[in-house]
Amino acid sequence: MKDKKIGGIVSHNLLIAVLCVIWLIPIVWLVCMSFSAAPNMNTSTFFPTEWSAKYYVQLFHSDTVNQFKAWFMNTFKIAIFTCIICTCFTLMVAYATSFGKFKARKPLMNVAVMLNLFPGVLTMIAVYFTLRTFNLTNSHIGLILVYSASSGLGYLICKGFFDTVPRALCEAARLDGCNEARIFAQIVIPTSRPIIVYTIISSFLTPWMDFVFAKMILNAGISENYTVAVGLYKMLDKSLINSYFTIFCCGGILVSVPIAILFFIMQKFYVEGITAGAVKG
Amino acid sequence: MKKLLSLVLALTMVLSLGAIAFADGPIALTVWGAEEDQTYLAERIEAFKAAYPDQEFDITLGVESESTAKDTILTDVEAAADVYAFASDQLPDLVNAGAILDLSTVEEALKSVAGKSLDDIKAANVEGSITAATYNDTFYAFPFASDGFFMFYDPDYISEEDAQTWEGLLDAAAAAGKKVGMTLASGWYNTAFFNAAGFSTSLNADGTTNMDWNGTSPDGYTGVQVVQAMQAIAGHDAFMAIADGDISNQIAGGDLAAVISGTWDTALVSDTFGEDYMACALPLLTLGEDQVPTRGTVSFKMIGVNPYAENAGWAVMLAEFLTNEESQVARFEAREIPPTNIAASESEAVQANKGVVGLTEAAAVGVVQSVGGKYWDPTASFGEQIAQGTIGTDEASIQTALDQLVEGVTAAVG
Repeated sequence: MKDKKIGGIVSHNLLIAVLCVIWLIPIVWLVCMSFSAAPNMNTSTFFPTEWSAKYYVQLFHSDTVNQFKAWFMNTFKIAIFTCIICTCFTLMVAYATSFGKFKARKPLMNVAVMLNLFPGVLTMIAVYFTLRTFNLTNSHIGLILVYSASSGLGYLICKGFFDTVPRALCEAARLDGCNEARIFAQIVIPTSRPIIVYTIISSFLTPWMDFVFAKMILNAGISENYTVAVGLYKMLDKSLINSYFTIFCCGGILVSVPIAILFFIMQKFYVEGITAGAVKG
Repeated sequence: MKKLLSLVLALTMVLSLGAIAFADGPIALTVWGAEEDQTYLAERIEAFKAAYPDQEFDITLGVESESTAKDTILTDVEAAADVYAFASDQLPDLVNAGAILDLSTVEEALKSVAGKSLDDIKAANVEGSITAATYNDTFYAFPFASDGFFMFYDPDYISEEDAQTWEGLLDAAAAAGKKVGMTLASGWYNTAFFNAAGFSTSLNADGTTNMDWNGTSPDGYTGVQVVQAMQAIAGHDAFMAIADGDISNQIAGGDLAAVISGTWDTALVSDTFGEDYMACALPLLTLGEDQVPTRGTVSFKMIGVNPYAENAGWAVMLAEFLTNEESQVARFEAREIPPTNIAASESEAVQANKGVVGLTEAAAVGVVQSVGGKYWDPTASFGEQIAQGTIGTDEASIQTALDQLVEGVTAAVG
């Protein structure tokens, strides 16, 4: 009986280990490649034949092709604003749909969910020409608008969480003369930390991971206006890849840094939020 | 109807610029060029400003690779740059979309300011490049560089004589334990074998492609013969079929003694094969009892002007300036790209450049490709089938595969 149990544990862990290796190989490869001493791609060996960190240094020395510093700052700026706007929108819509009592609540929710089911890329051309009408193409404001405009539609997960906030707390507050804004800010928000963390992280990630919209909207070819994704992609052109592939890998590693930092900071709140609990006893 | 409308719009726009006005304020122009050309272009733009000191300019330089220019321009022609570089195979699509200016409409201006007629420009560049810049008998763009693929080989393993034929080349590579690399899964490369037999493709006005590779060529070879020759090459132990876009990676891998690639890989080849590397035309192909040259694809890079440009007159001046003899010499010095300007290509430095020599040799027997959008996918998968060896070697299966290929390529558009 005991042997069977140990056997089960071993086989489970073995399976997990194998899956881990499969999942980590591309990341390990990218890290190794970024420390290669050769500028070009060479997959004849898994590990680079010579190691060097010089391309990380070169990544921060801008030339006509590589303007990583500018791209990074652009993306960071866009991500911060998108993150703020998205989080506010999502939380407010979720609050209204969870706590509000109005006639159109159900139909509105249904419409929002249905709209959200359409893949955003389908609206690409319409979005582009709308932005152009307002002269917002090739501007970061345009990109921020695109990333954050429909964020309210993603309220569903957040609303589900708000539904679990005890109504007794809100009713007590209301009896004491608290208005809706204060209930939202001082009761619902503090009890919903995990979902806020989730919303912040996911909305911050959108601009870092998006390529399609950035490529389409930043179409004037002005390299210093690019986001990281568009800029790095351009390095893979057949006439550039021989001199920029390793730099491309370095850039690929470094884009994950702000996301990782954000995650580490937020993780603390995430765990706290889950364990804290709102109503004692 | 839409096409007609855009044509009318473009026409009304260009009719208003018979002559160039020297404006009081700065003339705003936008230019798109390849990433690797940015430094060079910035210098030439300064030279342009210096050449016209009486006029103030505000020129913005943007990045757009020649190979993807069409896609970006056609997304939104009005937002595209006034002056842009592109590859010659994109010309029909640009013309059909009304995204490129007919240069004859500005010839007067060109004569009065730059002192050159279109005939002068046509005479100054190699004939092939002018043909490639002409569509439906209209001259649309200023050529500045030739492009195409040829063969690099390592003289340590392969002698000049071996490099003459595919058999010699592959046997020599096999003897040295090395490989010969080429991309088969791309219609840009694998058309070389069909061109060798005298087959060709052509483009119709509605965007469909004509292809007769499943029949007999004007030179009397059948498509089946060509495929058999390709199968013999692809089946050789020393042949390495390289995926499209992976050539640079494989050169760096060090297993190759010869590779079919282009000037963009020159520096890498020099590092891997050594500075004594050789560049030449593709080897002779054996068809039946004859040996014929393998005719690669030749294309040209050129600069066109957007008909929606606000200052189309000055845009044409700039396009002409960026492609004149002096600019082409400067471009060769910066990038080692073979010029199309006849005078520029006669310089000693150009003549001594191995990549240029290889491309010139290949271009001498090369073919300017004329195909529509439906050409690429079927030819790529056909090449992949040959590389994988999934087509049987008997005539019937080859004929079936060719019939399928032709059916796919000649399919209606839309």
